[in-house]
Formats: sequence, C-alpha cells, structure tokens
Amino acid sequence: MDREIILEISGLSKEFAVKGRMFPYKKEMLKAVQDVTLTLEKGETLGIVGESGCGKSTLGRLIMRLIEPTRGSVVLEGENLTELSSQKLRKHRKDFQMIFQDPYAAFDPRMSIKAILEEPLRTHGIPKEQWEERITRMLEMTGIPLDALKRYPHEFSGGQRQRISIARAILLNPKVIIADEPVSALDVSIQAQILNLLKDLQEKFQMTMLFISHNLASVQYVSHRVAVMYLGRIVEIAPSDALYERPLHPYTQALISAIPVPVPGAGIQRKRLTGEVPSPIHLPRGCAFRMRCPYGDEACAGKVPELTEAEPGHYVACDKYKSAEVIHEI
Amino acid sequence: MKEENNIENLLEVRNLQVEFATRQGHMHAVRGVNFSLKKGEILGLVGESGCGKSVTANSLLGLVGKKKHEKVTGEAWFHGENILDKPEKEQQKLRGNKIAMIFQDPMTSLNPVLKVGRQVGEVLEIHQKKKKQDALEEAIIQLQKVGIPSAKERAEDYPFQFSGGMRQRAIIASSLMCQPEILIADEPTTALDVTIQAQILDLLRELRDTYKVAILLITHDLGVVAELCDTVAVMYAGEIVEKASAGELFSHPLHPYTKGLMACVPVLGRKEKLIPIPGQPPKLYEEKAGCQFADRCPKRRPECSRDTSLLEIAPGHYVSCKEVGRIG
Repeated sequence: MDREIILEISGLSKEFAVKGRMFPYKKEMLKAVQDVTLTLEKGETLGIVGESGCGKSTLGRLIMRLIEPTRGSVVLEGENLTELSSQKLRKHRKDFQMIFQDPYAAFDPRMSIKAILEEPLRTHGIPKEQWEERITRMLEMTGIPLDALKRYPHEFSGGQRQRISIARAILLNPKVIIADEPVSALDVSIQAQILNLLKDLQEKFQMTMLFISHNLASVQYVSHRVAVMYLGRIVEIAPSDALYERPLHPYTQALISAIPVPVPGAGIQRKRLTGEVPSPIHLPRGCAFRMRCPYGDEACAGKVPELTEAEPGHYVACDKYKSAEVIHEI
Repeated sequence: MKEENNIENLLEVRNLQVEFATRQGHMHAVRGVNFSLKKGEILGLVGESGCGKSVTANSLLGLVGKKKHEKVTGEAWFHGENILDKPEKEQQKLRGNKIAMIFQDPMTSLNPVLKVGRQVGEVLEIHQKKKKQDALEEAIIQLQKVGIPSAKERAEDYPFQFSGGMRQRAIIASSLMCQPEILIADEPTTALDVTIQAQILDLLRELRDTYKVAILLITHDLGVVAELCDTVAVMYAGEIVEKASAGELFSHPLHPYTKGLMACVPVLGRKEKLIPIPGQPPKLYEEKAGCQFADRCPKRRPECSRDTSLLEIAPGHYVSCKEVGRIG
C-alpha cells in the first residue's frame, strides 16, 4: 500500500509567558508543547492521549494555527501553514476542520441549524446551487433528521448537537479533521453512538483525523496509531494494538494500569504511580517523568530522551525501555 | 413506629421519593428507591447523568427537601431513627459527624480564603466543640493519614496551592475527622486524571479496611465500580433497575439497560464494535407506567407497560425487568 503523507509536523513547540509566582513582574515560560514531530498519513486516525495539562489540546490548536507556535512547522501537502499570511491561511482553513468538546458552546444559539451549516459554505465560496444537496447529504450521513434545519441548537440533546458539529466539520471535505475530546461531555450511552459515527465516517471517506482525548480506551477504539503525551512531549507512539499489548514507556504502562476495568477486583494488584505531574514552568532536567518513574535514576537526569524506533513503527522516548524488567514487571 | 429493620444494616432506605416543582413542570427525580448499607460495605450507585443518583444521596443528608418546591418522602433508617423525618437541627448534627459527604469538584467544596488545616479541623470545632488549636493538630494528623506529605507545612496553605488530587485528599481528611459511620462519595474521582484517580480509589479502599466505614459511592463509571464496590445498584430514570454483588453483576448482568451500558463503553484491548443504546434517557417530567427503559429496550414486550418492581432472581440479585424474570 502506498502511503501518502498528508500532514507533517516537525519540531513544533509552544511556550506561554506567565507571571512568576514569587516575582509577578518577572515573566516565566510555561512549556506547553515541546518539540513535537509527527506525520499523518492520508486516511489514518492518529490518537493523542495524555492527562490534563500534557499539551494535547494545545497541540491540536497549534496545528489549526488557532494559536501561533513558538517554533517548528506544520506542513499540509507541501505547504507550510506556519508561514502563511492570515489571508492565505483563510483559504486553507477549509482543509482542516475541528470538532470541539462542548457541542453547545460550538454554536451560535441564535442561528438555526440551517444557518449554522450554510455559514462555512458561504465563507468558502461554494456555489449556492450546491448548498442544499451538500447539506442534505451530510445530515443523512450523520443521522440527523431533515426537519432539524429549521430548529435551533438548544432544541437538541448533547449527542444530536455533536452530530451536527460533525456534519459541519465534514461539510467542506476537509483534508484533516481535528477532534478535541469529542465525546467527553456526553453520557456514556451516547458516547458509543458518536464514536461509532466517527469511525464509520472515517472508513467511508478515508478521512484523516487527529483524535485527542484523555480516555485511552476510546482513543484506542477509533485510532490506527496512538501517541502518548506527557508534559508537552510525545513519549511513545505506536500502532494502537501494539501500544496496548506491548507498552514500552513506563508512563504508558502506568497509564494503562491505572484505567479501571469493569472486572471486579482487577485493580487491587496493580502498580500505582506515586506523586503528581510536575509544573510545566519548572520542568525537571532530563526526562520529565523520571521522578515518578519506578526505573528513574541519575542517568535519566542527563538529557531528554529522544523518540527512537524500538520496533517497526513503534517509537519510544525512554533510554531504559530495553531492560527486560521495564517490560514485564507492570 | 414499628421497628423491623435488620440490625446488620447500618442504613436502610425505603421507598425514597424526591419530587421537584420546576418551571418546566413537575419532576419526579427519584421514584421509590430501596437499598441498605452494611458496616464496612461499599455500595455503588451507577447511572447516567439525570438518573437521580446524586439527588438520592443529597436527600439522605437533608440537602434536598427543605425548600418549598422540593419534596422528599420515604424512610431512611439509621440507628433506629428515620433521619428523613428529623428536624433540620437534628440533621445538622448528623451531617459531617455520623454521615459525611465528598463531592465531585474538590475546588468548589473548599473555602478558598481559609487555610486547609483550619478547614479540615473546622468539623471538630463545630461538632465536638474543640478549641481551634486542638482541632488544627488533629487535622494535621488526619492530613498525614490520607497521604499529604509534610502535612504540618501544607496545613498552612490555601486550597489554590493544592493540586486536584491533594484537594480531594484534604476533603476526604475533613470528612473523616469525626469518624463517620457512613461516607457518601458523589463522583469523587470524576474531575481527576486516571493516575490520580487510581490513588484516590486506593485511599478509599484503605479507609474502609481500617475504619470499617460504610461507603455509598455514586459514579457513572463502571470501571470504578468494579474496582471498588462490594454491591452495585444500577439506576435508570429515578429507579433502581438492578442490584447485585459486584462479582455477580459483572459476570451475569441481567437487565437490558445494565447489559447495554456494559456493551457501549470502550474497554482497552477489546476490539469488538461498540453497541450503542438507541435513543435518549427520558426526561423525568412525565409519569409513565411500567418500565421506563422500554422505549430503548431491544427486548420490549407489551407487558412491559405494566408495573415493575425488583424481583429476586438469584440470591441477592434483584432485577426489575419482567422479561428477564420470566426466563430466569
């Protein structure tokens, strides 16, 4: 199978200036995303997983260029998005669309669903004759009844609203879709409907998608590959089966082991991470995970471990993953 | 009053009903809930948002039912007394003393302008009329017990200086100050990250083992239930639809809603396609006879519109579904 790379991210970093705690006039740098390098192939879903504050949402926004990166580049089919002027960027906006966590906040409450769905078509100069056909097709695809067009966002349930925001996102046939926690605000019985919808649409249109979530189980369910982030860096990236079956990074192992599974008594025996995530303002030297890591030692403080290919397609940023105990003990 | 409750049961809730008069109309949020809690038992109350699980917990503490538009009926027996019938003053003596509660959001349940140590100790000042200094000292000991490092120094911090996991630990510490017999935990880990959630779940389990405190755990996460609970009650539309020991419920779920809930949550390493439950959970404004789940149920039959009550299908395993009852 020939693999066509559609999105290439290299060395992407974002630092936010924040007021110092001790000396408020002194600016300190919060390193939200550091040196992220990723490629996205056409027709694949890449999951980004991590705990709150790990930089996964910032990464999504950087790719969309909703915020400006400090360093690095995002290249979409040969065009460097980070260098485009805002006018040129506007033209490219239709190529990458976003689905947000809260489907209510994503709509203007005073616009009817028809107006909401027509807006992107108007903005990007799609001929008016095509509007109705395109919108009808999208509604059918996402399972929204046609009479929805006359109604307003508040008349719909959370799940229906998320369907509408998915319809809006794919209306312009974008090249890349970024879904930032698309099911986290929904009830469990509704989450499955939306996850299945995203998965079906992805298969049907060969959509390229970046799926960002804190929930490893739902990331694994929809994604072909999964990247695990910790404190702004990608610590492991692998095909989703491999990540679950043979997690190599101690953080990934701990993350998987911390997830409660619906099997009584299964959680008691497991290893626990001690401590909490360090502040992204005062990052520890070397590997940021070393203080919570059961295998961390002096050597880990030396330098930031780089992502290296451990198995074909399976990259890990840990210098210790090779020692057999790391793999087997957890 | 007749006294027929089982001595083993620390808390026995019978036919609890909660109603609200709202602008949208009359809302029947809890519709005749029955359960009991033994000493040292962890009971999980599971359901989706709006199923009435939090209202159930709040009404036990008298946090619901005081205003004009709220109505709580039914019985909750605790040490031979119906705590729902007690006057507010008496209920206040129970709250935080014999029955303590932990809420979901650890930031909003702490007072932002009070030092953590003082807040944790405050419970003793109120219920046991202890002096400020003595209460603080005990608070520091309790903070240590729930795993806050250098508790003496951290007691002088304000809540904003604590991380989410630490705040939840502080709240757990304050809920334990009076050695309550019952701890009600309403989504105690939902606002936390998974690695921190695992730590807090361990802590709750430890508390049960050391203090033999009974815990009523309210959650929407079946994983958390499996990890922690001895007994599970599944709620749907204000009713308990299935109740069993955790082992039994997860190995032999009977009610179609319980089964649906289990099939629609992605589980790590499981590849099968998720089967969503069709439709939406009902709004609780209308009264509908029979099974509330019938509209969404794959096994719906005409007789589902008749009365539903919990049937004991196997020892200790109760289910409200008549269809399952017939087969079983």
